[in-house]
Amino acid sequence: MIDRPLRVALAGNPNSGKSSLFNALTGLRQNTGNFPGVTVDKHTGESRLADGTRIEIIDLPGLYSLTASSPDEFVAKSILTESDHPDHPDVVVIVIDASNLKRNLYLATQVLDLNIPSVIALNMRDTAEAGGITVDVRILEELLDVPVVAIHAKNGDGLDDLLNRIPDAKSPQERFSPTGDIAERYRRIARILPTAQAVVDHKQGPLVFTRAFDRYATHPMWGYTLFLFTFFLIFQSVFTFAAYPMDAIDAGMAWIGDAITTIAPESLWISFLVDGVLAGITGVVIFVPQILILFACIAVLEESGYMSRVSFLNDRLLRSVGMNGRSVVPLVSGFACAVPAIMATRTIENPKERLITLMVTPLMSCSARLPVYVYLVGYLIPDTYLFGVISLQGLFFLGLYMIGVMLSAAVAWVFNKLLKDPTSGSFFLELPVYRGPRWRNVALGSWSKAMTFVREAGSVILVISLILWALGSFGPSGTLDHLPTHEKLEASFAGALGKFIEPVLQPIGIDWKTGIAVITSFAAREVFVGTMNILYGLDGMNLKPDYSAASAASLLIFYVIAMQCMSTLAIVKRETNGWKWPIVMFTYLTVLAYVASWITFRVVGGW
Amino acid sequence: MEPPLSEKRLLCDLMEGQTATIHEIKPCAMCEKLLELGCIPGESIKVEHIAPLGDPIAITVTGSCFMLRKSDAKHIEVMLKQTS
Repeated sequence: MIDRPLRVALAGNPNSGKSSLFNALTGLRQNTGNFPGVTVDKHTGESRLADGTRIEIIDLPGLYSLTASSPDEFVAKSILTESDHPDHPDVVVIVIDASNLKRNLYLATQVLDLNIPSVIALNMRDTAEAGGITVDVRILEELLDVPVVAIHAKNGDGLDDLLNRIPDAKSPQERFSPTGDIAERYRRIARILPTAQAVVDHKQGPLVFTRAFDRYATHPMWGYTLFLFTFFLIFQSVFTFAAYPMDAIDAGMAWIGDAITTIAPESLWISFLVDGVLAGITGVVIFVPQILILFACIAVLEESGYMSRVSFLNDRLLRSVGMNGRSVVPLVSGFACAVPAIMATRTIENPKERLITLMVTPLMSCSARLPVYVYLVGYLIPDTYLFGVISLQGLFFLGLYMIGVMLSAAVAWVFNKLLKDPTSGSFFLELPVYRGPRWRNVALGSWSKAMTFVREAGSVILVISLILWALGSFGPSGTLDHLPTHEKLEASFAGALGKFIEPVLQPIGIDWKTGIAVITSFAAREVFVGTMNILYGLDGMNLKPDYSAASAASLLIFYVIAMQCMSTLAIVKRETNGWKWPIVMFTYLTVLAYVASWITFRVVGGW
Repeated sequence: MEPPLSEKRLLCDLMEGQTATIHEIKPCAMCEKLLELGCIPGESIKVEHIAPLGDPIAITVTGSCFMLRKSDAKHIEVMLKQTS
């Protein structure tokens, strides 16, 4: 016997309840990683058979057939078909949806024909029965010549039966379809269907609600109203609810920092610990609430089936600039934070459309830009109201957001022209029957996303914040401990760097002092305000003698566009598997920001 | 005048709510995928919804509903069932 655990793969159609089964079998004993070389989530976990045998479970990406066209389908296909693949399973559990036996049996019989010992898990019999379909497990087992177990993945019924039958897994004596021809396979399925299932009435049940609701969900007016309302709620959740835990993390970390500095005497090491390491860890953990909330919202929409309708509604519009219906989530989430938004691009199967979405998402004005906007808009625009109700500052804010949105469309259009598309722009998506979300999937899914972020983007963020700390703590003349805070920054390497890049910043109206703030705020945009306060004193109004309106406007435009966020670059690196795209992103956004700021400086300065 | 029993159309030209029988899937990037999803000649296909901007369309075939871009739907030739 082999000394490694028995390897069991879960295969099945999307929406067949495969992930619910995976979560029910493994619980928290699961890991999410990447398949090597591609950005496809790899979900693995552990469980035990009744006799105590350890099994390793891998949840394969959902498949409709063994013909692969997207990266995750290629991964699933090669694991199943290549016997020398490192993840090739000993046993396949094929999950089929009883409410659509015909299409589910297409993939199931294809997998059976691969000659890997298999067990079939028949899921969602309750949905099928609500739709007037009853499936006979015993007859199906006889017809397919492999063990068939009825399960209810959502509440965990039948899981023990399934685990008990895994040792009985076998491959059928004969191939189901000798030729492998599509039409022939469907003819054979059509032949066994009447024996295996009894159809009372197709029209009953959940389908009625789904079709009726879809008339509204895809309606020109109600459809968009519902869509905007739903996404407004999501945006509010990420934006508002995340603020409390984020403030708590901030306060908690500040408390720890204070505690350390009061206990220990001031020294370089303490500064390293508090301003370097602790600040870096805060910079990682601070994103966790937003990631948890956003992915919980996304999971609810995906699980319920509404997300496909959102894609349906918006596909045409987004396609005109090289994205697709699924780009809506990352783009909207980008207004809260680009980090979880970019992680959400994984649901876009087409690699080109995914890349374009990922590249323009940072142009959505995220919540970290707000403090910068408030600081500079407060300085630029008087706090007056048009017609007594419309805030002039508010209008200006809206304008800043719109600049980001319009630029994202333009940039997407350019990328669409530049990049090659191997898949010729096909896009199809199932509009599944609506159903209640499975909360376990929602919780486990968002938790694993947050952990992935901490593990994989965390180290990059930590390293960059240590570099930024070093730049601010050391200067050409050595350590700067003896200087007061504002002089310290000026005498540091960051200050030297600010002076060094001043010739570049001058044409856009920014002096070396603000240059320092631009450099330090690469850690996170909101750091800008803190640095400016140190350099210029506490109030934005103190800028007055140093700053012309043209300079402030130019700086504002710079922050609308520029890639001033190391965490975004870290997550782009993880999501694109390398440094190429984060570098492209940083370069194009910086150049674009510079040019736009230059134009702004000239135009406003010319008034 | 008696209407013809069935009329050959392209799937992308059907109106919302119309049902037809699949006649042929013409060679295209998606054709294998479409066949495997159950879009095989002889199957009944229904246009459930058309998106507000006229594209994509949502179709029901072999018991499940899919969205499809019109650029893919134009490769599916159907026979329109006459409704009286």
